[in-house]
Amino acid sequence: MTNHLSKEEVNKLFEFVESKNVQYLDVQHEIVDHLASAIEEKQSKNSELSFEKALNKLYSEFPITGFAAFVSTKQSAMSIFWRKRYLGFMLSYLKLPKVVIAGFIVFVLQLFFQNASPFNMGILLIACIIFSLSCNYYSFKAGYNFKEKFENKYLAIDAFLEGHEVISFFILIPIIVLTAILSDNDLGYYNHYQSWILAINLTIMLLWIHAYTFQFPKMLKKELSEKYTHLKIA
Amino acid sequence: MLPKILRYIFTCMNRNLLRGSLETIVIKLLSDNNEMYGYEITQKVKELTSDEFKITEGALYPTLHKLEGKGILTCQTRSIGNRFRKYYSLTEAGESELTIMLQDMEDYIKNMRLILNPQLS
Repeated sequence: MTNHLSKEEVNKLFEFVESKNVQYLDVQHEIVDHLASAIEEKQSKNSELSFEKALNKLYSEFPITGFAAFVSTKQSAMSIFWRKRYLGFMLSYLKLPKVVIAGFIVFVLQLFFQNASPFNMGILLIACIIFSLSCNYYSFKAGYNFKEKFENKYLAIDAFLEGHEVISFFILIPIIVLTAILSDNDLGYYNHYQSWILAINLTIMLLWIHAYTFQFPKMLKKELSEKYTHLKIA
Repeated sequence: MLPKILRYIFTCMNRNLLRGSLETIVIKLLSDNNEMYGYEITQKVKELTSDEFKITEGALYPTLHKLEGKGILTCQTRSIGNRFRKYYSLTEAGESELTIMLQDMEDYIKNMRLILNPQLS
């Protein structure tokens, strides 16, 4: 029968893993369990084998870069995981039933832009600013400020934040289109095509802000409560 | 000297073949065993192949992470003794991926046999 390592030995493993430049706690847990399982197995076959000797032998079997490859492959896999989820969520607005809501917003905004006046455009601008500020306030109140709280502590959260940054880059496209059209015309006078382009771009931005504020943090919380219960951060 | 070099070449070939089939091995094992942890997978492969195949940590964990990233695997963490252990299992997407992978592997083996031993076909 295999004996489990003592608490002191497990703590030594955590210190060892941290000393090898593994900063993320969730990754440390994963490597520690692997090392502990291997040490327990080696000791069950050879009861004379000390903990230190078993650990040194094990670590020598890792590549020359130590745990670096382990961390970097996990990092890129987690980033892909989040990017796929973000993209999947945004693309769900092109499927039923969400496409109806998205289509309705585009339609209403198109009517607005086609019949807009400089005064109405001012109102729209103020409404957009209020919406953005409310979303920021909501994020703060709901405790979704993951960056401030957990950056560089957990890979699960860092990968989530990195995915945010990558996807946020693409949101620049509608901003550029909006700016180009708005700056090229007299405020409030747009032709049929321009009003459609403006409506579609503004809808993408609004849906993105909505997803960014309300949906993505919920996805992360769900992920943490299902897969990372031991970290007690959900 | 020559047997040593030959053995080295065969080990490298084996390693490359194994690396290419690792995803299939992991998915198949998880399908048969419902859920497994990383170290258990390395030991199971050793046991099933009578120590012929040895999966290193450097190969296994990137594969597990990649499959998890693709949504083929999911994991759960449970307390074991004085630490926590991550158990991997297949998602629904993983189950359907297994059928495709096994079929691809069978086709590959069949074609390799045809190339290596044409007289048998």
